[in-house]
Amino acid sequence: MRFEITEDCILCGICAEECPIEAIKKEENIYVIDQEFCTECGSCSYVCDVGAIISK
Amino acid sequence: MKKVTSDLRENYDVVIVGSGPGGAGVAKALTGSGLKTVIIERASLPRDKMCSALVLPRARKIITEEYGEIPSEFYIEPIEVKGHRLFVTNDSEVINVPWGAVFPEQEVPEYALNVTSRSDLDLWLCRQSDASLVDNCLFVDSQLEEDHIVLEVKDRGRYKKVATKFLVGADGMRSKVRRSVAPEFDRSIIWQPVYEECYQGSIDLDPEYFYMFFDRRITDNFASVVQKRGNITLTTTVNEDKSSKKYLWIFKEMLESKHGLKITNTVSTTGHVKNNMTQMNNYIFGKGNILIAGEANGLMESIDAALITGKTAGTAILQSIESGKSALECFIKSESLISEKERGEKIQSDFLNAV
Repeated sequence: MRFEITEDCILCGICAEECPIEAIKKEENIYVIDQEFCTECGSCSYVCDVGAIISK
Repeated sequence: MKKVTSDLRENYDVVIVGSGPGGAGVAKALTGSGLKTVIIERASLPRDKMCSALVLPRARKIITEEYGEIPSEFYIEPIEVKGHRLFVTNDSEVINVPWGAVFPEQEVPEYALNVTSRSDLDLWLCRQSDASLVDNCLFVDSQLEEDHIVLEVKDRGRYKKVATKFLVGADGMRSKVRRSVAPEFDRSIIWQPVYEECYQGSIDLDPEYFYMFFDRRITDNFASVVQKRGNITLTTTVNEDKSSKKYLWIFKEMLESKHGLKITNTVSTTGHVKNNMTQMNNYIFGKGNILIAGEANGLMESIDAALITGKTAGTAILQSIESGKSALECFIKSESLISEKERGEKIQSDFLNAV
């Protein structure tokens, strides 16, 4: 299951704090998941308060 | 399976975080006590989790004796898995290691039971108790008040406060309850990403064995192959500075070249993280009336250890009510926790030495 951060991201950074392997980094207007390192654990999507992290 | 979940209330006697075997163990021990008990689960039930979904001999015995016969509709072929087969390096000869060679218990079934997945099994275990079950409910934080605990949860997307006398964190490796009692602890331990892919296809490995690979070119811990009705699941664990996906693909290529793996399509991918609490004998059992059970406390990562430490936590809560001592004091003094700890440490050192 692949996870992606959508444009609904409000830049709160909680997902990046929650990620156990620091695979989420802030870019200009959005946080981005490094898909190479992401282990698809889903922790980020559980903590996102605005539903900006979707799984595919 | 019919889903049976309730609405979240504002106060309970016992809140259990996590609907795995740890949580089920606590709930079972409290069944019939009259305590208002709830299991909260962050995912939507039934929820799957990354696991070989092999019920090992000791777990089979505990479940049969204390929960009932696992429903046969959960079984999947090959129904019984006979033991481990190890490749210490990719080029070494395979080593047969029966379950009984690693786990010391006598009078347990000889083989492990192969089940479809953890989703139905875990939900069934929780439903063998009289605890309420609330899903889509994420534990956020806990605060100790004078004579009770206040939890912050995110219930179906809305933040709420819940009051409880006792809290049990049975919420897995990345336990948030453990984090709420020991906020800096997670930074002091090592985390290892685990990644898994499941394929339809074929492979020249006997499906009646659980294959483990230890070659450092494919894993920093172990890599494994499990087969269920023609589906083949590959899993590997690496250190946090490495890409678990890349290593899994290297593992896949090795299996294609050496063990005849042929993939027709990819069914699913998933991942999580392990930590090194068990290897370092680094445990966290709780604080006051907050207990940590199952793999969250670091004793051992297995269904049977979770069932036992969950049961011990539930029993400790009953003892705490009776004696007036804190739940933690009753928990850490329980004989069953002490013997589980000794068992886990012996298995760790014996298995590591053997490999």
